[in-house]
Amino acid sequence: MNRFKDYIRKNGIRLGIAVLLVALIVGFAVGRSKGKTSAAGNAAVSLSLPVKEGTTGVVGWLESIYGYMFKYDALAKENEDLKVQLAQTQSQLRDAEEDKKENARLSELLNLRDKHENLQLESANIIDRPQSNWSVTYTLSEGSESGIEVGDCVIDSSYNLVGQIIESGSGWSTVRSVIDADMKVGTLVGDGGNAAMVIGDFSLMQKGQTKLTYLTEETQVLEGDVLVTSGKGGAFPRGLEIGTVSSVITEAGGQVEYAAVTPASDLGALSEVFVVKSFTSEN
Amino acid sequence: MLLDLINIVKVRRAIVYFGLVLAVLLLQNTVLSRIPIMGVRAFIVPIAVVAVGYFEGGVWGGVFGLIIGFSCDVGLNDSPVMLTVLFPVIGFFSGTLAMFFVNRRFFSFFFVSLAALVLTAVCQMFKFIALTDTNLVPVLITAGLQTLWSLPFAFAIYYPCRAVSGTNLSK
Repeated sequence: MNRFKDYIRKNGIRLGIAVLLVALIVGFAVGRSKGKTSAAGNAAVSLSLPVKEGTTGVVGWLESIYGYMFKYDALAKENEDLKVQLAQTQSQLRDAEEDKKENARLSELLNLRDKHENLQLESANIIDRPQSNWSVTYTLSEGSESGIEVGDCVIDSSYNLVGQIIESGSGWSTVRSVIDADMKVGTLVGDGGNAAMVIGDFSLMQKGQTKLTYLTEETQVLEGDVLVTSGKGGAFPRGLEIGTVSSVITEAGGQVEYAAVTPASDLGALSEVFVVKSFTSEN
Repeated sequence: MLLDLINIVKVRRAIVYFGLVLAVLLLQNTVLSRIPIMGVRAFIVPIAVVAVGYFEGGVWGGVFGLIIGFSCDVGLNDSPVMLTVLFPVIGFFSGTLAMFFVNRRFFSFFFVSLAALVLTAVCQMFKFIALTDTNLVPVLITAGLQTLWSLPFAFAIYYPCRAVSGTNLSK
């Protein structure tokens, strides 16, 4: 008994504090478990909040450092992968747009083929556009092995005249453009269908145009008139659109001297053309 | 030995000239032909032909002229063989001129180049003047501007070719 008294005397205060702490913790825990917070609990949490926030901040900072140190490579790789995926998607999108355009062109051509069954066409890509001061020509990706011959007519997907083959080799051929100074095409003018000639002109060639000439006295030419091939001479099928009259030059007497013609085909933007290998006259 | 029959120094020089000519053709086709000034593009290839003939003699000028002329005819589609015939003549005569009649300084090179450019332009416009009833004014303007735009490149071609040939002008 004395030993117990001595123990209490020596450790009574410590024991008391320990019991009090245990009681507080138990009380706090019981209070929390019932969904209520006692004043002591509230005080304890309020006191611990700054510490918690500080701890959370420090942990977050440490985690970010850890992430930077140990996850950087993974993130960089993921970023690269995403970039590759993005590029692939963009490429697929571009391909899809190209396919869409090609589809439209081919659909148009299919309709034209239905309308003009008398034409035997060969598709070819423009692979070069030599830039010269003295001529306008294009090099095509198809040549004699595809049955393309000198003199064949070249059109675009809208049945507009592009030019005429002047050279043909194995795997290539050269087209003289409709605006080239050496080009000559028989044409029908306006609603009356009067015959005339579209002949390349050096100064108009530099402006991307060609010249309507050899007009008869009764031929009326107005700005906006659409010119089509006459089919006479056998070099070009009848009915190909050559271009539109953009200006009319008259002599002092009032008679039309010649007219400047803007080609119907968008020659600068062409990438694919069709060579008319043979045709039968519709007349 | 077969190697003893080959003049390595000349072969090496020919290779360097080929490189220079290739650079000129590349410049012509990829840059100058894409930049029309007042609607007209420079055509500097005749200057390269003159340069080879000028520093290496008429034979080299003729041979290089043939190769360059053929390349230009194939590339430009202006005419089937005109430049293939014209450039060897220009190369040969510029070589002959430099060997017997004029010195190899830049001033004389400049005038021979000018003559070559004018001759080329005249040949290029010949069919428009002689064979068709084309209005002469735009043709002459095109020929004149083509010559004018090309002339400054005589500087750029003369000095590399002179360095390759090792020509000593102090003699």
